[in-house]
Amino acid sequence: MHAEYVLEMKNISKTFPGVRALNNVQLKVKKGTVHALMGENGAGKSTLMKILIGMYRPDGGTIKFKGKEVKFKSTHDALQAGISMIHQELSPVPYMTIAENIFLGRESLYKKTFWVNDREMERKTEELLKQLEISLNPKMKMKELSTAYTQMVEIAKAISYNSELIIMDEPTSAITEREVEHLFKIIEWLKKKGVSIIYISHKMDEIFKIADEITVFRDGSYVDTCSVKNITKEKLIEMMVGREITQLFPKEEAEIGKVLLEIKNFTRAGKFYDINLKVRKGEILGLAGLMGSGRSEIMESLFGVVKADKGEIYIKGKQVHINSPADAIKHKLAFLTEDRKISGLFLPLSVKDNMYISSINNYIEKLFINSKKVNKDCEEEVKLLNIKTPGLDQIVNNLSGGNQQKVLIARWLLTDPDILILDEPTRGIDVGAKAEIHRLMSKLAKQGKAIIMISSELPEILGMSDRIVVMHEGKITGELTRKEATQEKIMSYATGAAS
Amino acid sequence: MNNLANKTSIKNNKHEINKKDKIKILFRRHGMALVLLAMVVLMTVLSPAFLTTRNLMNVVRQISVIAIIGFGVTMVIITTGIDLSSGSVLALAGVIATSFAHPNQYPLIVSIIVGLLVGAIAGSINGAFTAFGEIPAFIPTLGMMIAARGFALIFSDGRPITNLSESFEFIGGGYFLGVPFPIYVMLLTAVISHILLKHTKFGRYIYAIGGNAQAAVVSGINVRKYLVLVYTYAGLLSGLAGIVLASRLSAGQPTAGVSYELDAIASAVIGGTSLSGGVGTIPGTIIGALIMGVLNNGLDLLQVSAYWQQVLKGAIIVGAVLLDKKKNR
Amino acid sequence: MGNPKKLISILLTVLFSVTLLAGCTGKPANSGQAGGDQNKDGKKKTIGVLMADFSDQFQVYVMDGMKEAASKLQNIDVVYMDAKYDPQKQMSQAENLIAQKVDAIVLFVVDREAGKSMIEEINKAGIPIIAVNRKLPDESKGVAYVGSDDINAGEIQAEQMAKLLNGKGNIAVLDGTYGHEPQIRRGQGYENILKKYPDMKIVVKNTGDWYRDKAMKLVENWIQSKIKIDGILANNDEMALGAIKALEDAGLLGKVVVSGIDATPEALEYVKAGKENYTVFQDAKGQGRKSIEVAARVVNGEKVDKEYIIPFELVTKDKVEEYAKRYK
Repeated sequence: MHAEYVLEMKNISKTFPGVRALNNVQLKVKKGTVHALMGENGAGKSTLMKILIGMYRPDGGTIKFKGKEVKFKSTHDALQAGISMIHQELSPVPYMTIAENIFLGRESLYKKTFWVNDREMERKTEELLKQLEISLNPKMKMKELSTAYTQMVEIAKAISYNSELIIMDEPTSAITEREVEHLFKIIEWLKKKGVSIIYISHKMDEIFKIADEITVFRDGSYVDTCSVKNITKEKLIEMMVGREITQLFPKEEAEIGKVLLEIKNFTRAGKFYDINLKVRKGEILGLAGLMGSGRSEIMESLFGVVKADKGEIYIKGKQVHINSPADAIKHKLAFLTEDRKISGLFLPLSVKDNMYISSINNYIEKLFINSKKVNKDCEEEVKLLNIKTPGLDQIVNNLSGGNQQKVLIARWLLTDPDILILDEPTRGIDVGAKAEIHRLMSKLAKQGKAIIMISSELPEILGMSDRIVVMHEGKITGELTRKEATQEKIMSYATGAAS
Repeated sequence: MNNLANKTSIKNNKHEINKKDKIKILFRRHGMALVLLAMVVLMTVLSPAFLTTRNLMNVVRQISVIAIIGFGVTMVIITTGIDLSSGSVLALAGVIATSFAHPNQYPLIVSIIVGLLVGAIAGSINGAFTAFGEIPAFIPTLGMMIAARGFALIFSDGRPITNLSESFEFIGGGYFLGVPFPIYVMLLTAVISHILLKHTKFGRYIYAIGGNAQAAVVSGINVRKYLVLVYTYAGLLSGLAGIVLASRLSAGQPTAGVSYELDAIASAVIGGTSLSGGVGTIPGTIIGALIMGVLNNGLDLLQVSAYWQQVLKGAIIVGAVLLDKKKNR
Repeated sequence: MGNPKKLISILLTVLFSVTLLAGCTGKPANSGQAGGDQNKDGKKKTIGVLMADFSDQFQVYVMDGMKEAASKLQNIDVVYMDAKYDPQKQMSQAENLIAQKVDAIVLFVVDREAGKSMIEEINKAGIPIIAVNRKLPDESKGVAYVGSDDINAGEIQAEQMAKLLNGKGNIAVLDGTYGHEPQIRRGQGYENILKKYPDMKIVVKNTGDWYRDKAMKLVENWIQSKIKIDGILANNDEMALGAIKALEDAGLLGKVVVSGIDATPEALEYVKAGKENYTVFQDAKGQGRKSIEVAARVVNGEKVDKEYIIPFELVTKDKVEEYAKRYK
C-alpha cells in the first residue's frame, strides 16, 4: 500500500543577488505524516518553505499540492489552498488580544456590515484553545504572554486555518520541556486527523521522537530522504554537516584555579533573591533552570544592564561596583545575551562594525579609527571562529544564525575578557556551528578564562559544565558537580521538586 | 551518499556572483545617484541653460544651506530620531549672530562663535530631553521648533537685523577662486561630518544606537551621552546654516528658514537614510539635496507654471524613492 | 558627564539669559491682559486689539502706530492679542474680550471667511468693531474701516514700472503665497495697469511665499534660464530684496528695474543706495494710529466715518528720508 504524497516539490532553484540559496532541490511529504526537514542554518530550509507558502517565487521547478500543480502568488493563496506556517520568528501584534491575533486578516463580521464581531471571534478562539488544552483567556493581550505562551498561540493560529499541511519552523526553540510535550500531543492529534506536518528543528531528540521521515539539505542542495527507523543520530549529523562529528560536547579538562568572580547576596525584587555564586579560573559554570527562573536577570544585573537592589560583586577578591555595561567591560567581563537579534546584533550594520564596537577604544588613534588594525583583528577572528561571510563589510543580517552568533562571540573576544557570560550560546544554531562554539568554550577555559553558561538544553549543560547551579523561581535550588549531575537530578531541582 | 564528497563544489556555488547580479548590486548601491544622473541628463536635453558651470554652481549654492542642516539631520535620523527644529534654530542663530556682526563692532569670529553656540545649545536641549526624558525626539524637537522661533522673534523684536559687516556678508555672498563661498562651507561640513560618521568612535556609536539601542547598551555604549552629542552637533550645523543664510540675505531674519527642516529630512531620506535607523551616509544626503535642487532649478528653467511645479515636485520626490525601493527586490 | 541634569539646567539658563539680555534693547511684544478688572468701575475703558500675527513685519509696524496713539489716550486701556495666523485662536480671543466686556474691538482679521461667526458674536455682544487693514466680509457689521486698498498698491507699483520702462518690456512677477488676499489684489492691480500697455508682458511668475530666500532662489534660476527680464514686480519688499541679491550676484543689478511694496526700513536703505528702484509705502503706522484714534472716538461716543483710507504712496530715491523718519 503506497501512501499518497500530499506535497511534491521538484527541481526547485532560487538565487538571491550574490547567493545561490537553492539548487535543484526536492521535497516529498506523505499524507498524515510528520516530515522533518533538517540541515545546518543556511542550508536552504527556510527559503524552500517561503517558496512553498508563496513568499518567494522560485527561479525554477514545480510544486504539486494534493496532486495538482500550484503556483502561489502570496501567503494568502497558500492559506486558501490549505498550507499554513508557524514562523520561527514570532510576529504577534502585541497590543491586540489573543483572539484578534488569531483572526487577524479574517475577522468575523456582523452580517453584511463592516463591524467586527469580537464576541464571535472570542468564542471561536476559546473553543480552539480548549480543543488544544491551552488554558488562556482569549481576551488577554499578546504582550502579557510569556514567549512560551506566545508560541502556543502561534501554533493554535496555524491550526485554526484547518490546513492540510502545517509547516513548523523551530516551534520549540522558545518553549520549555513541558510545552514541548504538549505540542507533541497536538501533533499526534493532527496526524490522526490526516494533517501532514513539515517539522524543522535542530533538536535530534525531538526529531527521533516525533518524525516519520527526514529530508536533509546541505548548502542549498538536496542530500537525501529517509525513514527515521533506518537512521542513527550520528549518521544524520554526518549527512547534515558533510563530515563526521565524533564528539558533540568536546569539553576538555582544564586546570581550575583561583576564584575570579564572586557575587554575594544578589537580589532584585521579583526576579531573584539572595544569589551567591562563584566561578573560578578555567572553570565552566553551567546555570540551569526553566525559562523565567531568573538566570538571565542575574547576569543582566551583574553586567550593569539593570541594577540589582542589593548585593556585592568581587573580582579577584576585590569588591567592585558595576553601574553600567561600560563598567563591566572595564572589569573584563563579557556578556553574550540570550536573544541575539533583540539585544545583541546591529542588524543593518556590517560584520566588522558588529565585531569591534565594544573594543573600539583599542582602535582609536588621535580621534580616528585605525581601519587597518580593525580589519586585521576582525579578519583574525573570522578565521579563528570559522565565520562564513563573503567579507567583513557584509551586512550581518544576511548571515545565518550560527554565523551571527559567532560574530557576537568575536565581539566579546576582541575585548579580551577574563570572565565570559554566555546566555544560551547555541540556541537556534546548527550542529556544526554548535560544536565549534563548544570547542571554543573549552579552549577559552583552558586559557584560564572563567565562563558562566546559561542553557536550557540539558545535554549541553551536562556536556560542557564543570559545575552546575540550578535555579527555580529566582532562587538557587541545587548545585552539582560534573560527576554527580544527571538530567533527572537537574530537572528535579529546576522544577522545585527537590530542594 | 556520494554527494558528501561534493561539499567543496557546493560551497563555491554559494558566493558566486554573476554579471546580472553585479549590475543589480551596482544599481542597489548607487540607485539615487543614478536617479540624479538621469535627471541631469533629462534637464540637459530639455534646457540648454541647465548644463553650464554658472548654473551648476547656482544649484549647488542653493542647496548648501539645506545640505548643511541635512548632515546633522542625517546623523539624528540614523539614531532613529528626528529633528524638526532645524529651521527655527537656524533663524534664532541667524538673528543672534547678526546682532554681533555690525560693522566695526566685534571681530568676525565672535559672531560666528555666538551663532554656532546658540545652535549647539538648542541642539543639546533637544538631545537632553530625548535621551534623559526618554520621550520620542519628535516632541522635544517640535517644542524647540516652536520655542526657538519665538525666541528669534523676541530677540529681534520681529524685525530683521541689518547693517552687517562686509566680512560677515562674505560668508554667504562672497566668491573664492570663482566659486561661491557657501559651497566651500558646505563641502567642508560634509567632509567633517563624513569623517565623524565613518572614522570615529562617535560615528560608529551613532550607527550602533540606531541599529539596535538595546544591544548598544549591552555593548558598553553610553547611549544617552551620545544621543545628546548627536543632537548638539545637529544644532551646531543649524547654527552654521543660520550664519550662512543670514550672510547671504544680508539680514538676520526671525522668519528665515521656515520649513527647511522638512527639506533637510527629505534630502536625508531621498539620499538613502532609513527612518527606522542604522542606515545613512553623508554623500547620500548630498545626492538627496542635489536631487531636490536640480528639481527646483529645472522646473524654473523650463518655466513650468507655478501651480504645476508643486504637483510635479511632490510626485517626483515620491516616485524617485519608490523607484529606489523597487529595484531592491 | 558628571551630572546630566545639572548640565541641562545650566544650558537652559544660558540660552534664556542670552536671549533676554540681548533682547532687552527691543521692547518685547505686549500681549498683556491689563485692565481686566478695573474697566467696569465706570471710568477706565478698554479697547481690545485682535491682531493676526505679531511676528509679521508689517503688523509690528501697525502695532507701533497703535501703541503711539494709545499712549496719548487718557482713561482708555488697550490690550493686544496675537492669533498667530490661526482663525480658531482669534475666535477664542474674541470670546475672551467679549467676556471682559471691552468697549471696542480693533480687528486685524486672520481670515475673512472664517471670521464671519466671530464677527457675529462680537455684534451680538454689542461691541463696536473697527476693522483695520483687512475689510470685514460684510462691511455693515463694523462701525468703521481703517486701511488701504491693495489693488491701489499694485496699480501704483505697475504704473511706475511702466513709466521707468517707457511702456515697453518683459516683466517678471514675484507673487506672495497663493491665495492670500494681498497677493490676489496686488496682482489684480498689476493687471489693471498692464492692460493699458500692450508692449509690457508678464513673461514669468512664481511664488516666493513672501520670503526673501525663496524669491532669491527663483530669480537665480530665472537668470540662468536666460529669459529676458526688464523689470521685476514683487508683491512685497522682502521678495524684492531677494531678487536684488540674485541680480547683484549675477552682475545684473541696475540692468533690471526692481520694486516691491511696504517700504520697510531695510527696503528704504536699498532704495537710498539705488539698488531697489522704488517701493510703495503702505502706511502701517498710520493705519495703526488711525485705528486706535477712531476706536477711542467710538468709545467716547463721538461720531466717526464709515471708512478711512490710508493711501499707498510711491517712494522713490528722493523721498526716502521723509519715509525713513516715519519709523523713528
